Amino acid sequence: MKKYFSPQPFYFSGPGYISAMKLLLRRTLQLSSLMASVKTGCITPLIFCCFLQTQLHAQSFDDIAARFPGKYAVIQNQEKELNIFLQNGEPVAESKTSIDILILDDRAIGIYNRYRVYHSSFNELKSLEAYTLVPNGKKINKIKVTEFKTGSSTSGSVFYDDLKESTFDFAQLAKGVVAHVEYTQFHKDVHLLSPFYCVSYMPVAKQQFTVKYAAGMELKYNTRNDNAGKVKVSETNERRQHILTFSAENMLNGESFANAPAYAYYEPHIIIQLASYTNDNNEKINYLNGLDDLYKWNYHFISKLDNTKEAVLKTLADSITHGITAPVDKAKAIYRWVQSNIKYVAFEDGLEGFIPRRAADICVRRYGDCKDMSSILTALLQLSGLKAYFTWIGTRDIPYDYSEVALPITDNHMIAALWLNDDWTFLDGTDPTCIFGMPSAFTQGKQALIAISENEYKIIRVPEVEAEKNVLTDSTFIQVTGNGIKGSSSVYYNGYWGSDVYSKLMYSDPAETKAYVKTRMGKASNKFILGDYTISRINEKEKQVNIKANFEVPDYGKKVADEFYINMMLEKLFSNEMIDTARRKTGVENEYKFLIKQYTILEVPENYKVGYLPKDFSSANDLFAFSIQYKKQDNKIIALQEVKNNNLLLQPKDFTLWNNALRQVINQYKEQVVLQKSN
Amino acid sequence: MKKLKAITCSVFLAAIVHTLAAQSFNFSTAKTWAAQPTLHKINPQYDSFSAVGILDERLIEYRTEKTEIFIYTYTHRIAHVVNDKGIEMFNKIYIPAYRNTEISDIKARAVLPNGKVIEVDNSRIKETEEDGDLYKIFAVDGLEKGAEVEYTFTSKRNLSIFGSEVFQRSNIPYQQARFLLATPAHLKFDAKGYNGFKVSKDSVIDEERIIAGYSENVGELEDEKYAFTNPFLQRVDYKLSYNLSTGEAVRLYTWKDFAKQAYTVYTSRTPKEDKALEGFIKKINISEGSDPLRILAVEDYIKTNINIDRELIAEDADNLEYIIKNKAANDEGITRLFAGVFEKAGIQFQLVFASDRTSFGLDNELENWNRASDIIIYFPATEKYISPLSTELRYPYIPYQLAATRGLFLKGTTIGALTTAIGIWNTIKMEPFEEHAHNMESTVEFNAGNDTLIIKSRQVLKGYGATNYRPIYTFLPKDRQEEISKEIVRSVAGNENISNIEVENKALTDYFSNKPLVISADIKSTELLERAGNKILLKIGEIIGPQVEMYQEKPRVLPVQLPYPHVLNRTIIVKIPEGYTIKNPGDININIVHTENGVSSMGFASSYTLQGSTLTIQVNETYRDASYPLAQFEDFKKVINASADFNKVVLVLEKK
Repeated sequence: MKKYFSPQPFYFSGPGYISAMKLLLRRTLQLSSLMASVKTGCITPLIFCCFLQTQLHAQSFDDIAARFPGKYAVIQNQEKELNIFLQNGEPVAESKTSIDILILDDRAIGIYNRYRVYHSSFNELKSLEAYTLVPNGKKINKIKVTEFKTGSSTSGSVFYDDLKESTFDFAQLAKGVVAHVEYTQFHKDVHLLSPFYCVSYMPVAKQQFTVKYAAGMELKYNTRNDNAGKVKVSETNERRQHILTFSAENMLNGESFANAPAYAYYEPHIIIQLASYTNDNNEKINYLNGLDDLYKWNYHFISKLDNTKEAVLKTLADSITHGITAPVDKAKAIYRWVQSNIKYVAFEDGLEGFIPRRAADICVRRYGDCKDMSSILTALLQLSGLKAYFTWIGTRDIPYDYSEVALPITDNHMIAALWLNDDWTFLDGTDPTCIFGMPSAFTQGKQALIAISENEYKIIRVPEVEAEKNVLTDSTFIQVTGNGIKGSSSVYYNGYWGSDVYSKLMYSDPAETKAYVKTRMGKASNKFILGDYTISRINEKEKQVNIKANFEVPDYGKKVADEFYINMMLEKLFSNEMIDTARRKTGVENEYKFLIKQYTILEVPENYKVGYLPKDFSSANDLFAFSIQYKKQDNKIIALQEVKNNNLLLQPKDFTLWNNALRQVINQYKEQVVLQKSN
Repeated sequence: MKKLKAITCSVFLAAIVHTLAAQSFNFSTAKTWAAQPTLHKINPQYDSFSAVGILDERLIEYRTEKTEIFIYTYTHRIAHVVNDKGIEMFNKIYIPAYRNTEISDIKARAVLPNGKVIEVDNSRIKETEEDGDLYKIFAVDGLEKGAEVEYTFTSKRNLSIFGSEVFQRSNIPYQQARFLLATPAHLKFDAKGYNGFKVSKDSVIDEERIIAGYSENVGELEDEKYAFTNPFLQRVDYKLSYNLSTGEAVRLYTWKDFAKQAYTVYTSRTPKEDKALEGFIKKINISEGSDPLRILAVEDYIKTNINIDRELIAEDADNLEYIIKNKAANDEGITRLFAGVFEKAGIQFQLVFASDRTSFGLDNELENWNRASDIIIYFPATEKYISPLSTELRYPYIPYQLAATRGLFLKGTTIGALTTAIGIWNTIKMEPFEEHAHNMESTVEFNAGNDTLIIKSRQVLKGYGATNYRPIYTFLPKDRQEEISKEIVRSVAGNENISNIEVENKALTDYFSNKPLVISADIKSTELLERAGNKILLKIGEIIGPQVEMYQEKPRVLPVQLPYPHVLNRTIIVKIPEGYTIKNPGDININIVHTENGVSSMGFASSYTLQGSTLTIQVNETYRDASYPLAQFEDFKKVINASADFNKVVLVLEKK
């Protein structure tokens, strides 16, 4: 939310001179192809979506090209068949996927040749075949892909996992050609089936997702974000099988937007869940019928930890809480210790992606992932006599509540929940500068699944922290100089603002700190010259911090004849945040709610008087509020800008409200104060 | 076929390693892992770093096993972690395991401030792949502030005749760096240290020929604005120069030899390839007429119809039959295809290995063939180039990194029945500076209420100035093209109200006669207007878009290097609304020019003329050269800042 220049144009440079543009495109495609799968972060390793065997439909080229003008390629047909059955008494699944990509324009060459299929130990790739069909007069030549490359597929913040990608290049792409890929996968754990996404990285002309399951099985499905009603469902029976068929046509490609929530919030997809099955003894076994089943499954990952038995842990807990009596202070000390001493490093290999490591091991290694942080926090808190529990949660990247989607795809994170003074406190060990008592910003508003015991759990919603707790107060004093202004700023950061500053400072050496202070304090114009500064960590526990800095801004303000004009809105906070309502279909995410108060105090130079003060302005609603006030006090002019952001996700329905308010604010930003020589 | 690659093996650009007890050349091949590690002292000049490298040691040994020679590299590093950031830098270790490289004897430990040593359990070492490269990875247990991380490993790879070790980084300093090359005595290597890295002459010790090298206090070399860092990094390059066992004192692996071999790789073909090539050429419409147009026709056809990908997943992607059948080629293959077509079409050409200006480059003294990886094609008749790999460029444009630099030109020659090439070093000229333009023409009028500007804007981009945008109009689908055009226009006046966007000369072939890419639009903008009581403030400086500033810089280390020399000429015409005058037109005048031998080599000049109610502003900014020496940095900074200052020009309009 700090000032940014308008978006920089594409800048293509760098060592690989293969068309940088194409590389960029390939990267983008790689990202969007992930849409076809759900990669849930830390707990649930991953789940991949696939599709099934296809016949080439003799849909005319012209027909499809007319439906998708300006596109270089479309998925002409996409089919996925998922078969769920029992193997050795346990449900397993196989899927067959088949995709036909029709090339509409020669410009697709070099952009759509590379294809990737993702898989992992839970979703094993059993077969993979691909070819290109090239029309040649009345014949069609088939050119098979003969070389495939399989390697690790890196994934963001995770240090190691077992996600793999198999990659190949389609040959002979050109207008009218069809590129075909088909593959089968074995899903050894049906808990981890991924949703089927109805959009892809290119438009889909026609798609069909079929789920076949044995008569003794009970299956639930949930179609999400299909507001236009494009997904049709039919149910049939065939011998001893039920068949669910989902089909859709003319789905445009998925789009990504800046500060947008995850795809699952807005792209249509189908969630499949095996509720129960009948075993060989004809008994009905609940599988993932509801929360109880999900909890049972989650719990078995922690049930055998026996996490507090080592004496070394008790000794550590005692030493951290030595001399502290109040339970809340003990908890704070332990949380602080884990935040400072255990670094985030994630290994997520197979079951490692689910089972927390034992607290005693984490203690020696000094690193761990979210599950490990949850493990050591829970153990140390328990050993200090506190009621702390392992807790699963989905970060804000996941739109689902446990109460509506009781599936492993609903969580991707673990924290610790602490029952203290008749209330829940959520402790996220992965955020080293989170304030005790506040949730990590990326878990606000999400449901937490708290493991009380083998048979007892609680679903508690993590609160959204109100704007008034995240306050930034800026007092800036300025004086007119011969060629601009100079002055000093003092800024107090509280709540998440404070966490952000602490976090940045924690990872900065002195040179980086100076650069950071300059960005934080910079205002008026890019000619802002930072002078001396001091950083005061006022309250380490509450992450309150103050930064004071002296500065000069040459060429700011305008002296013409006997008048001096100056815009006292030194930071035009949201002037680049107008939303393109015609294009944008997703909401705008905010990391947290906040309040900014910015006082700018101008000393009127001797021999000058105030010639003009802009009018006050305010605009407020439940989602956000802006106000600007000017007043004269002795020889000073005080301008106050207040901005309140009171939402975590601004929905498209509120865009007009936002734009209208912003237009008014931008208009107010144009007002300059006029000082006149008084003689 | 990959012949050339087979000869040169893979480039071993070592990423991370270090040496002990330097101070002078140390010829010992003994490993230096201490049984009882102790913490090291940090030099006072480094006490503000998050982590300080203590040692980066790389001992490279060519060892004969049975009849084969393998290269063993013993890598040993120690780093002191100072703060949380330092811990994060070193608690995860990546050891590169390039193709055909075996990694063994990994040892790693943390030495804590209290002297306690925690060894890394080797069973927790994993293997992963990032961007196609394999790594052994592990996490270091027990790290805390003030601790040291120490690790070592040995890599074994097949014989390579060339090598390079880079010892300088952008983020942290290393107090000691050590290099050692040990080879069987009959193999005489040359080694060269760059940018201050010291390298000894070779000495034969115990039947091994040893070259030692070291450097101390290798500082971090940060990226700077308008600079290319890589050429300035401390490093050692080495290569085999003599095989004394043959009894002949003939220098091996010279650039001359390289030219001959490369020429064969890229220009010789099997009869089957020739046949495929002849079929392929028939599809290209190579008209009669002047050479340049024929070159363009070949280039455009190949780049439009073949998937060119350096990383193509196919073993045969350099074979012409495969390429023509699959319409896909890797870097080597596409060059062979171009060479074949030009030869058959009778278009004279020379292959050129260019020395990348932004990277380590080619050195005619130390013949490291591994660095010869960027090929362009030169046409003697026109003295211009094409780049076979750059699908987004057309004759005569090549990646800017490969222009205004040196290259090894492969000049074909026939001696009797033998066709071969001689390698000649020459300069690869860049198209002259005035060909590369970011020009702008704007007319600005006020609406009736004087609260909105009606702007007609034209951005006129030429030469390299068009390379950022022109590919958009070929490679992106139409809806994205429109969106991005709008973004580009928005940089003029940051406004939502944009209409009549037109883009001219967007074809990639328009580079040929350097037709400008013109992006024009009508804009209704309120952004450039502010109010001061009853006066109108026109922020005319912002119409040229945000400019880079260098107002508060750290002391400059590197000379100035630009991607390409260029001009920025802007003409802004403002119709002053009736009844108003401009109180301060003089604020427009800025004139910062640097002259070199009587010619202005860089400068920013803005001025105006006022005729009736028409104000015409001329802004001319010029960077005649692609690089400026460090001594001219202050002048360069003034020019850059002059344009950022122009950004701040505000005209005050007052009622008459």
